[in-house]
Amino acid sequence: MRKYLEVFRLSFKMQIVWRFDVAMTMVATVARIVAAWVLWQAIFAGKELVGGFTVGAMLSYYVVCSIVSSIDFSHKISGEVCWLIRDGRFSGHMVAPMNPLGFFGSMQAGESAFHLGFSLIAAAICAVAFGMRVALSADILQILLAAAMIPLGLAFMAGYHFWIGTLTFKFLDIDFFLHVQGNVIAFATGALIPLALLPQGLLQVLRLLPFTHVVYTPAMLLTGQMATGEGLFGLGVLAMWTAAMLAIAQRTYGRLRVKYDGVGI
Amino acid sequence: MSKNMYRNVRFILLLIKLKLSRMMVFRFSFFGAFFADGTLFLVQLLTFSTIYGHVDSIGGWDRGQMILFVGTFSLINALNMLIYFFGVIGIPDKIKRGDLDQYLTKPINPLLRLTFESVNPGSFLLVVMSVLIIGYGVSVSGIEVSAGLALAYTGLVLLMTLLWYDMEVILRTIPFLVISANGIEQLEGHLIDLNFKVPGVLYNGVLKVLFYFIMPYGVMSTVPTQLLSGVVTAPGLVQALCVVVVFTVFTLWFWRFGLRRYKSASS
Repeated sequence: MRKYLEVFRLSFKMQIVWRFDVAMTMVATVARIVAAWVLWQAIFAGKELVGGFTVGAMLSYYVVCSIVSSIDFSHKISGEVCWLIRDGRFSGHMVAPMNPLGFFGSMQAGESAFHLGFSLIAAAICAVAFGMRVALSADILQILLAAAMIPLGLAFMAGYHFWIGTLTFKFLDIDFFLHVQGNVIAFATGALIPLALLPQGLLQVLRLLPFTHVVYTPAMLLTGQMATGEGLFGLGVLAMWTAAMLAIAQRTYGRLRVKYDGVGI
Repeated sequence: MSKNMYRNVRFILLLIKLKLSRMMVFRFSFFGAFFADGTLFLVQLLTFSTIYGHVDSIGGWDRGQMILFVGTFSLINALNMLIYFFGVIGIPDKIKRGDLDQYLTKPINPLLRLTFESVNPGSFLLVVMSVLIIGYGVSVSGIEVSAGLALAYTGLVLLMTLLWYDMEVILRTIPFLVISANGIEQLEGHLIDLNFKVPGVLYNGVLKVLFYFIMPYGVMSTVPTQLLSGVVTAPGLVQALCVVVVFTVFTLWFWRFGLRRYKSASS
């Protein structure tokens, strides 16, 4: 465990070097909030409620949602694993006395932890600049649930992207798959619109999937727009999916690594 | 002049032929851009469709106009991917590594070669998909499309594709002047993403100035959509055309300006 903590610490410190990336994370957070502000101000013109949301509740959702989305760097794992395998440079991870999934997960966690503070600052600036009244839940249980779900969701996404990356052992070229799943998952996590606006039947299906609980459920809990019981259900679903995903990713890596032709092999 | 143009056209055709030969090696990626961007635009349609399940209009635009907006954005992006995107995005790396030397020493305009050397025929399906989305938008809006209107719309879309090209080249000319410009490309991605979600008609104040005159992504899909749905104003149209002209002239000047500051691998 200590070696993974060391990777986490190293990744956290490395972010200081990439200052422009930090600035871009802040820009991404601002861009999401600005897009939501402009669009939903127009949608709410002359209306009190849309899909059960007030304008304040909707903007609060987007502010929290943009923070959670901006600290998810898991997509980099699939890209990096894919390139390392294709370039024949994955060998280093095979011989190092460290589980590659643990390594990439710890790297991502360090990056997320570093960027969290900057995303919060960017969101706070936006909220002040656009005069948004961000309404947060006062229920401590809801806040704790969301606080537990966010890292768990990031762990799930890390496992999921590591699994996709390892498919490169078999298919070599997975670029288009990386893009396709990224677009669909952005919708399924609720990063584009609150999933509560979807038809109930579809929402019932989505709540059984893990992606819904990566962004949507924590954001709804933090803004006090979801019952605690539903949050508990989401946490349970996410925990089960995370355990399953990590096991699948580990097993896939174990099975496909024998197909690897790399430098020094 | 015409001899020079004929030579350029022959050169472009040769570049396309060479690119096709190279693409046959990676057949699995042939339709990569289509699948990647196709899902992006379908997801955006789904997003707007969900919102329109709860409201009738957004900033005065109905569901049909929003479908036209997404379809037009998709079409401009598809033409970008089909023709020049994969060539232009390589410019910063070529500047950084000094690979631009190979382009400057050839008896052909380097920007012309960079623009057309990486056409992506797989993106043609994206053009077809975009036209289908626009067709769907037209039927939902109930617009009567005359030949003249179709021609004007096509011309405007091509001009907006040129404006997109201008923006891509301008941002990728900056690396001539700075050491690393990775962040600029990320910034471009965020701005395009924002303008893809928000039609230009919704902007006011500073945002309108920014996205209509300084980084004119807000004009690109909005004005053709307004033209097709019959709500464009003459000043709005003239303003959009002026933006295209100004940015194109600036792009050509800025490219030459950047080239003069190029530190080649051999110098």
